[in-house]
Amino acid sequence: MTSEIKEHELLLEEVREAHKRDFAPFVKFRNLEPHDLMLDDLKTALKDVEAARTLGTGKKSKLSTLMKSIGRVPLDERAEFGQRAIALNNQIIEDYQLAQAHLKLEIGYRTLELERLDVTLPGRRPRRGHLHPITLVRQRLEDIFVSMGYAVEDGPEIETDFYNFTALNIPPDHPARSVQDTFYTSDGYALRSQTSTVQVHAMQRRRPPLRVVAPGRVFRRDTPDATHNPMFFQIEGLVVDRGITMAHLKGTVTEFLRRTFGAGTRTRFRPSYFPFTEPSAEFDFTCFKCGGRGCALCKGSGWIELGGSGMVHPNVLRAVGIDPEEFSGFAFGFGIDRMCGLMYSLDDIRLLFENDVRFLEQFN
Amino acid sequence: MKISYNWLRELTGVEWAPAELRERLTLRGLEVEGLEEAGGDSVFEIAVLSNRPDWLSHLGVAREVGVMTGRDVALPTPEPKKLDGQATAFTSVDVQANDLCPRFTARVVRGVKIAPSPAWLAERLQAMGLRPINNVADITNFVMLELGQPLHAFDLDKLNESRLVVRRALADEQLKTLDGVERKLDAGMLVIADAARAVAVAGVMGGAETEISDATENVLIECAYFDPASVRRTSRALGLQTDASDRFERGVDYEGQLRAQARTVALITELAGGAATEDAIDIYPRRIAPPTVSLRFDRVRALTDLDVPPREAIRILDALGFKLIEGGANGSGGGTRAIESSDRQPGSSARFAAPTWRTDVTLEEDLVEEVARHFGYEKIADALPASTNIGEHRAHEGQRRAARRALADSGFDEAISFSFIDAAHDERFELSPGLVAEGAAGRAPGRARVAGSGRDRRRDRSRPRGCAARAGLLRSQGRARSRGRCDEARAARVRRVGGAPPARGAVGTSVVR
Repeated sequence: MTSEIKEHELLLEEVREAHKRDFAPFVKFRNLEPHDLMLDDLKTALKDVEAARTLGTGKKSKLSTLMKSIGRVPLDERAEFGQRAIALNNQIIEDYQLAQAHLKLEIGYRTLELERLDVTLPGRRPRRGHLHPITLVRQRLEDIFVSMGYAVEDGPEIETDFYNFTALNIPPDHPARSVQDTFYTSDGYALRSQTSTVQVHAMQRRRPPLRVVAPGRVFRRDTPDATHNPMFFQIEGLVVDRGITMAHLKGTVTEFLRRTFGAGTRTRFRPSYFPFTEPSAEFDFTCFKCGGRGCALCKGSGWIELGGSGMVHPNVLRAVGIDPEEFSGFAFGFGIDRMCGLMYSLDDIRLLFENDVRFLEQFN
Repeated sequence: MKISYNWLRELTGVEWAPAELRERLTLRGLEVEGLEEAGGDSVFEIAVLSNRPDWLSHLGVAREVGVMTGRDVALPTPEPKKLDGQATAFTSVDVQANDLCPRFTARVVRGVKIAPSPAWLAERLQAMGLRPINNVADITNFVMLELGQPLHAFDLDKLNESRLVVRRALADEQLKTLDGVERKLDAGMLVIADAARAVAVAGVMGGAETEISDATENVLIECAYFDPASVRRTSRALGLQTDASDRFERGVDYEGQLRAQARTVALITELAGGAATEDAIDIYPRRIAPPTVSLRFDRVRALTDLDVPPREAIRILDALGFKLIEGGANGSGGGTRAIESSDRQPGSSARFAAPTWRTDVTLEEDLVEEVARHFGYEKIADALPASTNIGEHRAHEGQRRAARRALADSGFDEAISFSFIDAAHDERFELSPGLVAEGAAGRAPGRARVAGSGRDRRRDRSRPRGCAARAGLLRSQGRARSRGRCDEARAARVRRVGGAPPARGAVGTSVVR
């Protein structure tokens, strides 16, 4: 008999000790002691409490075994032992219930705190990047010319002597061919000094009637200053067909400038000289700032000089096998950088290729 | 080129005010970049087109004004105060390099008194930006500005054997030029020499030892036509660019030497005294024939849409100095005056000889331009050509734009950098296999070195295509970082890789954090 008593008394002590050990991490929750746990830690703790409760009070738990053992306790001790066992059982269940309840409350409260939203606060916007001003102007120009029926063409930036000079009617002793003016690679090719080279490529690829426009980089050995860079962007237009005249050239340039600078824009042609056009003309347009009355931008003249143009030289047509008696054409070109400088009022076009973030982020 | 309004008025009788003349000149291709008032005169700064060396003189600009006013240019008739003897009695000229010196003329004035120029001459030169030296030197400069012919005055008594030889420089030959610099000549250069040594670099600058001094009594006035390419080479090789070389290398009037020389010696006898020789030595073995060019009058309209009556086309060309050779008046070769005085209509085409001062006229289109220029580009209407063409962007333009926009939307700033990079920087880049497209004209790609000079050695390489767009980005990143903006230093570029279209596109991005 003595051993029997000892056995159930031992079991009760074992259960008490086990609970004390298993519940130790959760005492602080049960008793609402201060802690510095984060919300995620609390959620983990709640899961741990639930797991521990299942282990400590479930059907296969020692506690369950203890409760079942009450019936086998001798009658004279049963009531007294039963009371102690039930008291322990109740305490264990209460411990877990309280710890769980307190954790749930705190999690709920902390979640609410975290999710509280002030809809009047300004949003945190991710920084947006910017397209380069050359790209902005270039895309705009391309769109205008495409809408006027032009195909956008491309050509190499490293050119042979034929494309850069000979086919453009630039004679062998012309100063433009000198190493003072044009970049040459170590293997004797020229970095193209004008987009007019694309005229030649385009006329070789397509037969008239053709109208193309070619934007791109060109290179000249200029010392950089506020209005010069050794590399800059040009756009070149070319139309070849039967019966093309300077009136078509003038109308086209005027139309494009009106679409760019406004319907009131007027143009002016001045005779000039380019080896690859004859007759040749430079074109000016009425200052978009003062409307032609004269201001600082146009240096008081009312006119802004933009580019060069003319009727394609018969030697250029012949160089690509087009008969100048049957076809005529016009070509025009101007600096995209210069147009950029005008449209965005840049004092110094060197800024265009410095890629300073403070400069680039001003455009869009 | 500085052009004096008063001088133009003396030559043309033009009555337009300077501001109006400025506008008219600009619309005819003589762009007036500046207009300054100076001592009762107005000075135009004219941007002379590179193919119009004849505009480097008042006569050349006056001709253009003459076409506008319809009046002939009135050149002063040179009349030396005193004539004495034949040129060959005092000097001789031996031209040994006729290929580089197609024409050479020399005339002598004896018994001059060297002194400062009178005020009117000194002031006019000063207004044109030249420093007065002495009366003879100033007169040669004055005539150059008036007629466009550079002239040189030698002290005849300092020339060995009083004679000139035009030849190529000898090996190791040296000459101290007027600017006091001892110059080494080479065998390709043309010099004017006396019996013993070089005394001038032909077409570029005279020598110091034979220049006019206060003691000079007898002067030889030289005026020549030198081969333009030869003068250009010599001027470049010596690093010496002068008012004379500027004109010779672009081409002077090969029929204008004697007149300029006569004008010079007349002014010398007037302002410095002395007697000029009655004639000049003129070595001109092969007469240069100006090109002749035909003009079909309807080509003017075909190319410019201007409706210019043939009569007006002929008038313009005649005023510019073109000579009507044939056609013009239905088979009559009677010249321009014949047309103007007859009622006959010109034929459908005419043939002209280009003026001897024009180096730029060889084709019918050149005549069309001259006619259209003076009839007036401002009369050309605006018209849009009818088209059967369809506008189209380059292949993949949509993708390129989408890529750019997407990158910008995710915070990248688009960068455009030079196509050259610092050679030192370049050494640190490796060409990535597979990233390199074929180079231009089917060449092997790689690092093409661009000939560099001191002033742009930082950019002395063309970028190895396709692999180092990054170099430019890295440079700008470095700058951004140094300004404490590394949190925002993102840049991207969308750039084609490879030479010949259709080219592959590549995006290089670079983020520094």
